[in-house]
Amino acid sequence: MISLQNVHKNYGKHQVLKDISFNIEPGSIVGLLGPNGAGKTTLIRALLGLSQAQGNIEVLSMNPAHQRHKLLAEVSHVSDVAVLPGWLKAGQVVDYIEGVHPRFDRQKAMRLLEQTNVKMDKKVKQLSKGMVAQLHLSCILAIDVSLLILDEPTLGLDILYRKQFYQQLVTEFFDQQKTILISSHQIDELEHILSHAMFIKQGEVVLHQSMEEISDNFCSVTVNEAQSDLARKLQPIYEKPGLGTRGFIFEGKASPDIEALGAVVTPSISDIFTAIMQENK
Amino acid sequence: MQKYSTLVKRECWEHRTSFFTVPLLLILFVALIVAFGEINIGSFSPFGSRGNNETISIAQIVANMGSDQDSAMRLNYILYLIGLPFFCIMLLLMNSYFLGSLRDDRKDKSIYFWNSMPVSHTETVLSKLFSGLVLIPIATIIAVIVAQLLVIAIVYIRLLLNGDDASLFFGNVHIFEVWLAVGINYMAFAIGSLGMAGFLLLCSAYSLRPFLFSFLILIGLLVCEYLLTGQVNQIVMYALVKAPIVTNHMFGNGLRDAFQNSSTAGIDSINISATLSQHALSSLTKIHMWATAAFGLLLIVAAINVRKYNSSE
Repeated sequence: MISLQNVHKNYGKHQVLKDISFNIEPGSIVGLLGPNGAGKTTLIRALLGLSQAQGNIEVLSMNPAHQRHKLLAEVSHVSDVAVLPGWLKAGQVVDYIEGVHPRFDRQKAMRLLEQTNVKMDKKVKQLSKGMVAQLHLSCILAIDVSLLILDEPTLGLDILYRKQFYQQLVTEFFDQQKTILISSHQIDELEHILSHAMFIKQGEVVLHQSMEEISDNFCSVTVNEAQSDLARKLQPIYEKPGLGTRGFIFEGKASPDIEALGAVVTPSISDIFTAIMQENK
Repeated sequence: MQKYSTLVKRECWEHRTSFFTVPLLLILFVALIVAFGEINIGSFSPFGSRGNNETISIAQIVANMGSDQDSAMRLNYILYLIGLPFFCIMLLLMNSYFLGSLRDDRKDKSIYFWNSMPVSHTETVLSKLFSGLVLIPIATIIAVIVAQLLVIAIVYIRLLLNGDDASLFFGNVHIFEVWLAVGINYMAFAIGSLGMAGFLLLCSAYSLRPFLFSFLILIGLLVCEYLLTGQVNQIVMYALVKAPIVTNHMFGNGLRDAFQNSSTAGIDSINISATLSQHALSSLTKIHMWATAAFGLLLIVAAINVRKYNSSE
């Protein structure tokens, strides 16, 4: 579905994407996670043909750089900076997308919008930030495409709507033939719907694994202060202080030495993320 | 086709004031002028005045009109002249529309939303060209027609109140010929405007301050033309100003000569559409006009590519 090989991107002398290669298969929900300035948005824009990058990029068997608008008929996309124009009425947003997108389902959009407080005769500039995001996302979810790319889609939304949105994403959009690539800072809220996680750090993909692989490849143990030195000798990738305890994250399967320290659990994605991002910082 | 009509609809939603409100206000303005005001129409012969710099108001002409053929023929020209303020405002609206059309969405960042839809940059730019070059003029021409019908209605009511024979009078009012003349003049204007439209679209696609940018480029081009040819009104001014404005009668240019020529032929023999279209039709036979149009198309292609580059970087 998505295939990248040796993709580079420079802004002047600054290299924002460094030799990125990965494949994403149909039927997966991939979380693209990275700190600000890691290159997530640049990577997404390159995938959509909205930005030029060196290397081979293939999305739905198309070259995004040369077939941008053909590709966008098969892909839905919400950008973190996508601003619906203030002069447009909510109803006109629906009318516009219906007019230009061959796969837009108006009835579905209206059904989703009925669950929100968005008034169709109001201009976008008269809606709250949350309502604008609801309007945009409801319309995007009503597009029947095989690939959905979301760049910080829930930015500015309250927790209730964020949870509702992730639920809708799975119930209204996702099936085994479809793929979602989603970048977000709300890692904990996203974790339960992901099938894969991809960490990007300073323009490089530093981790791309399925949730099962992550569960197999990382383990965590919490020890009391007295055992901390023992745990450190086992070369953890991350150490998190607690109240009288210390949490350690290890890469690889739990060895007997680690198991001897205490109860071994699978760390959360956000802990693994923090660990990898701080590694060799 | 549905996509293209949606893109044009989007322009109407965004520029409702320019496209619809301004022409409606102009109709109101003309109605007020006809009813209460005065317009200096100079010494145009069809209004019965042969003296130089004599001023006659439309209201006065309408008030003085009888049911005779001469009055009816004068009314044909008045009907055409009603369009002049409309077309002058239209030109301002068009220029302002083109200058903002490829800048505004970059300025408010809504370009990220538009770019997330399956619409090519070519389709976007062409829809804006169509809206500026066809939709704004069509809205204006419809407003002109409404204003003309309003004036006819005023004259008709006046004749009825005076007990004159309105049917005899209106037998000599050739409104369809006037509309044909407007249409032909518009056609010449649209072709002549391609250079201006392309230039403004290119400035709009490139700069976030397209007004200042286009002004500076224009000055630069005029200086270059002067240094190369010793003149400043042959190439740049022709392509950007003369071709849209001077090659037709939409803005009043050449009307005086047309009227004077026709008055010498006698009012009975005047073919209104031919008189008012001659200049526009002859301009379409000139190579300059088509060279300007071709250059305009090149600038539009450049605008598409600049927009493509600007939205990807």
